[in-house]
Amino acid sequence: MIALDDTDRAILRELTHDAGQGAGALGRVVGLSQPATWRRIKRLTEAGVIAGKRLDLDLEALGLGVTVFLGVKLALRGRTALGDVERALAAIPEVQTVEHVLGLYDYRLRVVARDIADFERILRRRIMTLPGVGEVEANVLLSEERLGGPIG
Amino acid sequence: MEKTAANAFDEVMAEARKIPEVLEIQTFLGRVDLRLKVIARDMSHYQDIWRTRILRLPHVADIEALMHVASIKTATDLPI
Repeated sequence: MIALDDTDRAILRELTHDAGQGAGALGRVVGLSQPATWRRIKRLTEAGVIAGKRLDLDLEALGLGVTVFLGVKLALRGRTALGDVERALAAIPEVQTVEHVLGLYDYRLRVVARDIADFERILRRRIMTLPGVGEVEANVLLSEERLGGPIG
Repeated sequence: MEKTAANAFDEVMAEARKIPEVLEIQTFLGRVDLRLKVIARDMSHYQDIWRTRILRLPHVADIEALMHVASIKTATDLPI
């Protein structure tokens, strides 16, 4: 972990809202020159605080109108190994994330589909048929917002 | 969620946005109505957020907590 000052935190807060802004524009917001801001971003990147940047795509505009979160309970009978279940779930292209969780479920999956019929196909043919998959609960995503988080 | 009040969702979401440790707010069609992704430094910090912030959210009927253990897959590509 590297030491962060308030200016570093201000830069990170700005970048979490728009990672595409240049050092010049960012510097004006946090009160630094363009080269000084650039050096700080470089330091934060080299230290691994900024681990990467990602595109925020509009799934609906891409024809993926449905996002469903699945809670999956394992039903491990006989020889089905945990690793096999995880690999099989991760291999489904529509499954965007697989999280191992503690609580009511064993896994939490984020699944994208073109529409409800497409989702039904994925659920029935790809997920329910997997050995080791027990109870499945589906919740259809209606809205989602991401917040900046407690930086400093 | 207690959905007897017409603006229940708006109110609980407005309150949730004020909690710095809340990273994501999602609403659903299904058994679950609302999901908050909460980050904490450790379990005692989590307990503090839970007691002082989460339990005080309005219109909440029942809370279920899932603790993240590991990310098995985080897709970087879409099926497009």
